[in-house]
Amino acid sequence: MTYGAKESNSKEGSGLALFIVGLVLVTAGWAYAPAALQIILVLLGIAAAVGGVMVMRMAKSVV
Amino acid sequence: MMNRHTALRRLSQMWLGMLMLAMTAVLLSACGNSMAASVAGDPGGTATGSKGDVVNQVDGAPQFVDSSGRPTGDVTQAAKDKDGNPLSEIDAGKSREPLAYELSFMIGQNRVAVNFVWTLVTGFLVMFMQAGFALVEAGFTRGKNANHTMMMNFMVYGLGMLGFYICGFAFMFGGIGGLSTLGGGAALASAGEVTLWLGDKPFGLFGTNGFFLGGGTYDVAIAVMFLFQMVFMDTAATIPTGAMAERWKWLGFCIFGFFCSTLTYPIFGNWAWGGGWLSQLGVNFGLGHGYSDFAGSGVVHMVGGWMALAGALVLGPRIGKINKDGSVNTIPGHNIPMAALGTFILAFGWFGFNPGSTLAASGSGALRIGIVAVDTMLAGAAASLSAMLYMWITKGKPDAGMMINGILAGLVAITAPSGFVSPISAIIIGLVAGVLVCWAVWFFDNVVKVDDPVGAISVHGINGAWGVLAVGLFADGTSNYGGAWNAVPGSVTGLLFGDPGQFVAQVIGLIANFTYVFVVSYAFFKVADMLIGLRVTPEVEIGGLDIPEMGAYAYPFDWPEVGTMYPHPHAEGEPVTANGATSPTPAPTMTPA
Repeated sequence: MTYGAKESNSKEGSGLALFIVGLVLVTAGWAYAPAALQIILVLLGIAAAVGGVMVMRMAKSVV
Repeated sequence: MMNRHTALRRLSQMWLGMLMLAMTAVLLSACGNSMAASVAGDPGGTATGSKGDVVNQVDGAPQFVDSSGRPTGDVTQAAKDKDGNPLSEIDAGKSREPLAYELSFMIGQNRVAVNFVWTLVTGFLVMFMQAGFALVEAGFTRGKNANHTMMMNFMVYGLGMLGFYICGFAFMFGGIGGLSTLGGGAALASAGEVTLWLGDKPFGLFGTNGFFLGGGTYDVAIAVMFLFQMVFMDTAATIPTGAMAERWKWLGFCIFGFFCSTLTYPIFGNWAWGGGWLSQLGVNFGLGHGYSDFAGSGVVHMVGGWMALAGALVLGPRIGKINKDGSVNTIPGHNIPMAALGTFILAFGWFGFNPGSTLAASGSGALRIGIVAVDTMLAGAAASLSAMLYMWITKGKPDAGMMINGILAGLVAITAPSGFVSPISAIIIGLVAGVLVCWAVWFFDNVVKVDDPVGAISVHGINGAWGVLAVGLFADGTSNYGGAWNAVPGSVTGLLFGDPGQFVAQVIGLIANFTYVFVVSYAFFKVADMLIGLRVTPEVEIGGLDIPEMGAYAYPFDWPEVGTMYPHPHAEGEPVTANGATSPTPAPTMTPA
């Protein structure tokens, strides 16, 4: 089945998924992780969230 | 040979996989930490509700006995037990009335059980309001966008819920200090509130207990509270989907769902309901009982309304809404019966929204739920009447859209005062709300030039503000929720009943609400617009968002209004069944011409 003209696309979904993973990592890392892992997980989460936004930004031009 | 594009894709998949693994490890460590939490929860529900929940049902004062065996509410006068704790009346009577002592455990748990059931059932009613919002917003917008509009209301439930679970609940209630009517919640200790001290005055900003409902917050009482508050948050989050309908990109909406549920809503919610600085205006500055918002005219509806205003301003009006000379066109919705049905569902759900906000049906003055429900009903009725009469008299027709928005405005306006005012005050509040929403819709259309397809800003923002002020005017001092409200003894009393300080507290709450919510939301929408783009292209907007954004029409057959630009999914002659799916068997009557 054709979806006709495409505004939304799968790259947007991937970016959103990455963003959510980042949010979860930041929160869980900050709230619960052992001290040694905390900073690593928070940074990893921030990287994932920023990466997610970058993917979504790239998707903006793919219509 | 693997090309560069495939290699990059595999690399990104590996990266995502590693992150998923790391996330799982963190969540497992969260579970491990929960075992070692200093304040234990009660996930089994066996320790919640006990003899301690039998007393304090009316005035909230702890009942102890002094050294001569007489009851006293003053803990400093209480006799001490063998462990050095104040001796309660029940413990003092253990030797005299052993059966009564044993029964007190069962009575205490039953009291808490009644409150659990009440709070859960009313929370389920509030959850069902999502269906009402979906129908109202889809009915008030055009058929070519019905799938998109309906599904925004659908998915805000899932997105918002997970955001609130991840961190929203912790920010909002992570320092509230316990849930007395639900018999537990000690893990939400007030020490978890991040507080700014100005002189000797504490200003609570946000809580820090309860991320992922982990640690001691894995607890039956906290779970009840979470469910009830989560559906309230979802109500706020779904309001902007109406004001921003028919031009909002799906991705932008998804990001907003998380932003609202994790940050915008919980932070203001903490200030008002989580023990934060607005709720302490009474204790700290003698302003009545502090900012008082019984069920959320401000916390839920005003927050939703101002988010909607910010979003609609950033998005701009729909194509065809405003002419070059500045005049405004009406863009009618496609299904008034759908909107009316949705409104009935909302009005029904409001009986969960307001009476449920006692978080109790037994003890602590919770029997006022009868008056709360009647106030809710009367205000909605009065507002729909005044809106109908206003439109009939001024425009010549009893406008359906305004009757619908009228009842919703009345329900929004009574939400904050419903726990504090009399039925006659509820009628007055509703009558004002019905006219106010008509004026507000005209004002935002013609003066501010904000395009709000469903009137969400007027219904929720403006009438939310009216409801907050109405507490400060009409609260009559007859309510008694455990003898104190926001830690100030006595009942909430408004300006017209002798307490001007309460009105000042409400004004401060209103200003804080608009300033925080509008500024934060406007900044969010601007940044999101810059990074990912919030608005669909003009071609998509004119043709309808359903196919480009969602991949399917709401109405799969030849709906007269849709399909002006994009081909129908079945337009190439594929036969379809009655539910719109492709079928090997031709169905001539259902096949598009």
